[in-house]
Amino acid sequence: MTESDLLQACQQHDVRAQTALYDRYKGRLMGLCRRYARSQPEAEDMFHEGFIRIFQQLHTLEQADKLLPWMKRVMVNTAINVYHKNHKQQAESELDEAWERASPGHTDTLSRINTEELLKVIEQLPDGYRMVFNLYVIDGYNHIEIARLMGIAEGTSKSQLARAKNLLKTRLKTLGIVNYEES
Amino acid sequence: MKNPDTDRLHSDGWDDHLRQRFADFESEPPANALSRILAELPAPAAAPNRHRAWVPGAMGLLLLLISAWVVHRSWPFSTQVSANLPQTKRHIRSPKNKPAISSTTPSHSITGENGALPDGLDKETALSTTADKEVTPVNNPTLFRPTQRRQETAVGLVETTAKSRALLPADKVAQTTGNQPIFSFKSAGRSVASAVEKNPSANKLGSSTTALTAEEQPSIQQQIIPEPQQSSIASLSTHPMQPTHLALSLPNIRLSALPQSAPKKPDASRQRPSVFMGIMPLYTYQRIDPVRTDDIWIKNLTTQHALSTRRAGLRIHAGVEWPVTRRISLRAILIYNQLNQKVSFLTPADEPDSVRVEQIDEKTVRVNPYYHDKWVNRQTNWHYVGAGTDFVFHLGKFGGWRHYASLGATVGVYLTPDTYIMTQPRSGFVQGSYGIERPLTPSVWLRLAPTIQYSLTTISDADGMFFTRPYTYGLTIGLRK
Repeated sequence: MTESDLLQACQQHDVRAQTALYDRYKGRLMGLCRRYARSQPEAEDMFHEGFIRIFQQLHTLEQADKLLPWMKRVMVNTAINVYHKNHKQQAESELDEAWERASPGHTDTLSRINTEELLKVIEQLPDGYRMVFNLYVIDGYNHIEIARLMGIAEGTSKSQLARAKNLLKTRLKTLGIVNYEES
Repeated sequence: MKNPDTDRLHSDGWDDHLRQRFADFESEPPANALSRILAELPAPAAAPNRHRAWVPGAMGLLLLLISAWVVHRSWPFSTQVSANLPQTKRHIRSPKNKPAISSTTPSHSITGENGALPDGLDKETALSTTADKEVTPVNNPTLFRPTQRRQETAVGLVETTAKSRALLPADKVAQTTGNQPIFSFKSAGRSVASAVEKNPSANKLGSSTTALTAEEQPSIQQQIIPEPQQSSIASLSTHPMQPTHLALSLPNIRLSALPQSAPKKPDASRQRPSVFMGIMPLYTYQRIDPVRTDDIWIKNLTTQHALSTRRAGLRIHAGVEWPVTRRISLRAILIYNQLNQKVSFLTPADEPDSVRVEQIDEKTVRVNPYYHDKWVNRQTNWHYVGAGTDFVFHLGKFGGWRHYASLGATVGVYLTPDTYIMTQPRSGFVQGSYGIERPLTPSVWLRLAPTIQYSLTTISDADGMFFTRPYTYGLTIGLRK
């Protein structure tokens, strides 16, 4: 079944087509949710809510070749909604500390750890940092779009990205040292 | 997402490494996730079932056709309405062609100083000529030029008199007073009795005026007119004059209500019903057809200039839109129209301002009432409520806006304004629009649509002086959800 057929069948609420669509894209979309969520349970909730929105709004999609980007966008929007619901003020102390301790050495660590370990590090980022980092670095949004989606200033997006990167590098460096010491 | 970002140009390889790592990153969702998702999906109530989708469309079309049929069947066209017009029109005389003084009521000649007409030839001849000329205008296209008609009347009068005399004995002819009495009766117009009755000046003449009574007329007819002609004249003289042939000869100008042609690429429509509402500031125009009878004369009919505020009105509508196919939707609409228009025209005054009395001979006096023209300004404020159906053709998405065209019809009633008496308040409009829409929020869309409405029927003013067919142009501003 082509994506066009799949899309049309899903738009007519064909359960078999919905199952096929789910099976085809569940891995990627769950991976996206993992990046944006603070934890596995939160990622599962995000995935659940996002897929319901996908099925509900699938009738608005007109071009089958844009199915995956559209589904990703719906999932990202769901993640942002979850972020807004759970948004809490982060303690600046930790961030400032991370900013100060950023230094080279993280690149080696990044190449040594696997994706799951890297995901754990990303999950531990503060919510705002993690959101901006995912949106900008992985999903390719620019700061103007991020600012609009998250309801923040463009400058805030830039500063949060910089701090997220520094914090991530610091933690990767720490992880590398630990790994090195353990090995 | 694809906008250029200067920050990205300076990104180190670390960003690229991370992006590659997570670009195709997959993770396994819980085993029962799909069943939970499907369980929470709402029932597909508005599924685009093609067969079901056609049901409202077919019903709407059927309703539209029936409504149009009812409106057209129940609407009396110009001749019928003219016959049923209020009696106020009788007070308006037809003007003569002279601009300074209008006098369309024919002159009255009264024979005899004692108020009695001589028996025999004068009455008979006069009545016969009157009856003849009553018949003539029905097929005469110059009916609406009273001056010209009077000239023809005078010429025809002599001929008719000569014929009548030829039919009479010599002693009867001897009793006549020449052409004058005959002319005087002829120039009385439709009937001497009615002319005198209408003309207040004639009554002021007192004993010097004499009129034929209604009772006298049949007996006189029987004396002089052959049997077949009597029946034809009687049938014609007892029926009101109907301007049918003139109404048919008028050019019937109709403005096309079709929307602009569709651009290229079709665009998918929404699959669920949506509600919408809108408001349309509009300008009202109207095609005006004066009632062209001998009793009513309107000159210099003018309306306001194209952008006059007196034309400004409003249309408010709300409704539901169902998708029929991917390109076509059907709307059911409730509509309120408020239409304004001002009309000015020149018409003879109801009462004569002077009377000219001429003595034709010893026994005949001619009375000519004169009427000045007066300006009448009529500001009309119609209120119209109705229900309608539109077919919407989705044309595609261009420049961030979805384009569509709509075409439909509305049936409803006019709520009678003060200045108009609706002999037939039911009416219909056809409407068309070319619109664009774009989302304001994920669920609310803004619509802009230049729209035209054209009335299917005409309406009459209170005095029955003209028929009006309103049409409007406006810009619909609306929201849909």
